[in-house]
Amino acid sequence: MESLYQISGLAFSYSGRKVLDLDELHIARNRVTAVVGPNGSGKSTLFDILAFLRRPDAGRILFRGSPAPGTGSAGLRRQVGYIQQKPYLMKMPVRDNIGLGLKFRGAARADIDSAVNAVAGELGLGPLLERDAGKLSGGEIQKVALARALVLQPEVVLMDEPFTYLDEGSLHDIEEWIAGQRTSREKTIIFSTHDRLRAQSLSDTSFNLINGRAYPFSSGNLFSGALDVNDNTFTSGNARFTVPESVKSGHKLFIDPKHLVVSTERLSSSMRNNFSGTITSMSTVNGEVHLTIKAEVTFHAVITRRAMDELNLQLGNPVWVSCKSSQISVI
Amino acid sequence: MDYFSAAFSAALSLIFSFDREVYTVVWTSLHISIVAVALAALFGIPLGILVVLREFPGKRLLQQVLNTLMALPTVVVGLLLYGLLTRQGALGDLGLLYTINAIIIGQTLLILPIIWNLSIAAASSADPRLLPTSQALGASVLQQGAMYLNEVKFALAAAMTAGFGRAIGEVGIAMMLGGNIEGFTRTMTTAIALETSKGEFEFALALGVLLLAVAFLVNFIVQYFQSMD
Repeated sequence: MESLYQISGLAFSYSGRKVLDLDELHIARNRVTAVVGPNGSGKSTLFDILAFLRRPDAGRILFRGSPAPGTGSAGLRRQVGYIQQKPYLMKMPVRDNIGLGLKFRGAARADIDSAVNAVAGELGLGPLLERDAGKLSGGEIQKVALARALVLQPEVVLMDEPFTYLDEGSLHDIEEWIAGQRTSREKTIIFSTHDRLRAQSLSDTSFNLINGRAYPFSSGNLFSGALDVNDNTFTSGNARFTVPESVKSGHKLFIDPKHLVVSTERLSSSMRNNFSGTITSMSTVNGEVHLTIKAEVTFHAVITRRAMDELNLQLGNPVWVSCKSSQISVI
Repeated sequence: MDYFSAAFSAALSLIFSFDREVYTVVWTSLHISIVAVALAALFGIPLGILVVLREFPGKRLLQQVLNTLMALPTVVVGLLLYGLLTRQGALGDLGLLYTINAIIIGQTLLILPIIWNLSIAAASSADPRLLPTSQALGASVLQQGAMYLNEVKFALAAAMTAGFGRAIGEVGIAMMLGGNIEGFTRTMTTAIALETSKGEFEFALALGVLLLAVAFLVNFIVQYFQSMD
């Protein structure tokens, strides 16, 4: 699959504190990518960099295969539609807000008007066009910001936390729009969210961003807790994990769902992390089985269909969840 | 007290009889200050927005200097420009001394730091999302500046009005560079000083009342613009 962005060795710091540290990250062209992470994980900074509003301290970004010069290039920024978290609308009517980017590009008034009318019609914003932008609801602001980006027909649309501050109706509209883009495959959509389920249901690919680092997407297995370096353990609630000796600090523990081994009996193996629990949900996504297992903590495991059949797993079954300490990351 | 009330009554009669001499002086003052504000705004507002848009070494120092220059004594500006514009001065050949243009130059320099500094404050008061939003929409630096102009126009208008208030009420520059020539460079403030010393208290008082009215109007306009933002 062709990559729109190819990022390597990217780092960004705020007053000496590293907020982004990405070894390698590829974002597919004409696909929907979700960036999942809690507040303060570096999502907005990453989006600012992808929109060419910030220059990284280090690293390389290839955009459509060519090195991106960083910030300062209005030409490059004009290829990206960026809807920031809590978008800002200018003190002018909605119509002028939507057409602003075209005005910056020197488009004729008539062309701006017809483009604005078209995109407003598509997003159901027609009745709002003559309204003052300062009098819109959160959902309306989000949609106007989307229209303002889309009217420019950008190759990529970046949406930073587009689902926050939305009412039910607007939420549905934005979800529908992303789902439509996923089907049409005409644009690259990158959105961030802290909602893992929404990320999974709306995107082609997703990754976790935690403390500025990218990890393979999981629908779970990120636990907060305390590390004890004396006996190499990490305690989260009632669960106690054995972690690699090399771990010296961190307050979040991460296990890739594919690294969890699910069995019906306790394994007599070298795996030092074993928890007994019950299957509380099962679903099939892209041919893989996603399990939710309630143990001392709630685990999310991904197994093959064949493994599920062999183990004859059913909802409510007691199972064991195991993993090697070497499969555990502490962040 | 009788002296004062008689003078005040005479002053009002000069004002309401639209005394030609009084209003020539008023017009001269307004003309000079309006042109000075326009010139200072022409440079001060873009410079103020530029300071907010760009990071550069010495930015804090510049703002400290501008803060200091806001309280620049008018006689110092008058003195320095006199040195430049006098016949023996570097710009003496231009023949500007004792002309309206000389006063305009002096008042422009006097209020430039005020308008520049208040424009920095105005642009800084804009929503912090304004700049990244403009940039994300592909605005050039000039277009980003235009967005600031639109977003904080009332605060910028208040900055201009504050500059006008300072210009119309100053006496040092008008006296030293204009020479207080009747019908030519005589402004409200220089006329008040001269007429009082001549004993023409009614005339001076009439101008004083008009100057106060202008100051009141300016203050009213500043407050109006501030309430709009």
